[in-house]
Amino acid sequence: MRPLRLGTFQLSPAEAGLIRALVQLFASGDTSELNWQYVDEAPYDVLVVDANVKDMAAVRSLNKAGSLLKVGEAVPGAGAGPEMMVRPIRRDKLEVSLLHFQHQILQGGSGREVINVQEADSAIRIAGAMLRQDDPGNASAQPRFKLRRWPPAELLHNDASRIRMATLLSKRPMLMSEMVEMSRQPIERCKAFIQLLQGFNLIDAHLPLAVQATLPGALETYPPAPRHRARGNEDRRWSLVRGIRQRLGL
Amino acid sequence: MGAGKTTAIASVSEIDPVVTDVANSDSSVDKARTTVGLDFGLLTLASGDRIRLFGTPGQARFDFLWRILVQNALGLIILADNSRPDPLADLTLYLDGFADQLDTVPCAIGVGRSGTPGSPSLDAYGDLLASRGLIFPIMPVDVRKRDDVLLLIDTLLAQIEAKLSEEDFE
Repeated sequence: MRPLRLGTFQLSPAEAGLIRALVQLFASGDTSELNWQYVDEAPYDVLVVDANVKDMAAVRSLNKAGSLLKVGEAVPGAGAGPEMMVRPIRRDKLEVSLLHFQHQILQGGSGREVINVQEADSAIRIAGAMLRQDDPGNASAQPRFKLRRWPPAELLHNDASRIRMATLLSKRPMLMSEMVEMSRQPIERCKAFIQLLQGFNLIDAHLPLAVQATLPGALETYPPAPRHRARGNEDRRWSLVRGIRQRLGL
Repeated sequence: MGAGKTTAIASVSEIDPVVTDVANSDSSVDKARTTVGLDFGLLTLASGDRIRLFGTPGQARFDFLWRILVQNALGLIILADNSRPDPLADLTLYLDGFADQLDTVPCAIGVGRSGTPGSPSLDAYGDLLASRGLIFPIMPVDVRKRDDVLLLIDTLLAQIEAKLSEEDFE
């Protein structure tokens, strides 16, 4: 497959240069599944534009761009997605966006898909969840993330840490803090991975019952009371798992 | 059959696996020997606990053995041979065979010879699992590489840890 064409429009020279460098970095890496080249002339598969540009439709048409990736400032209450990159531009954010567009293009779409109401609702919930995750003063309202299905190979590219994170998210709804602890990955990497999954509509955000109860129209529900459990069997299994890890060097 | 169970066990077992291979009489599979009984390996932990590693025959006629061995199992690894004529049908057979246990027993899918021309992609395996409402780790594996086998085991342990930690929070 030919490399997909990425360009920039009305970005500062520094940002355009950064994007060019990152795309070259992706192209030279042996682990990334990204297949992009930075080009200076139309047509573009994706054109990176400043979010403040007035007439996006005209920009897209005049530059023969299949899709637009907007770059802008963070707006409270509006979550960033794979088609909107919040400044500062970083490698993980660009990777999430380009994988998203690449996936859409390979699926035969233009990158400007119409999402259904259910998907939109899910995206809003996840975006809100990610914002709450960034609010350390709101720990009791933190969401849990759960995988919908095993991710495509192009998202995992057989990376052990991504496979491990996906495995954890496959078993139960998991707090970000739990994911960090159990995957032994930095929180930035965990967040980037969840955003990547979000871009492909592969993850659900489960809000705590107490938070759901505050939403308009929510049923009056309460979190279950803590219950005491017989710990003997669990302790035994924890011990076994730790022993196996130690024995195999995992 | 032919997915490399014997080699996978040998890569992590502390003893030479007890192997029950015999001459292969199935002309559709290009290998000289195949497992007709059980392969068996062993890991002794620092605590003195012993982890037993069983490799079971892949042929459907041995499904009674699968159900026996999966009882009290910590986890289950399904090794698929992507060079077989219909590896997705093979996986379906195993998923059916272990259907009663898959809700509770951690499971991972290792796909051997994943680059075989014309063979299903890894995502096709994911599609099959999703069609059955299942989410298990799926990864390419070369059972001759210990790291590949360890990654499969690591995902089993991660699943156990995820469930145990959930119970801790309840």
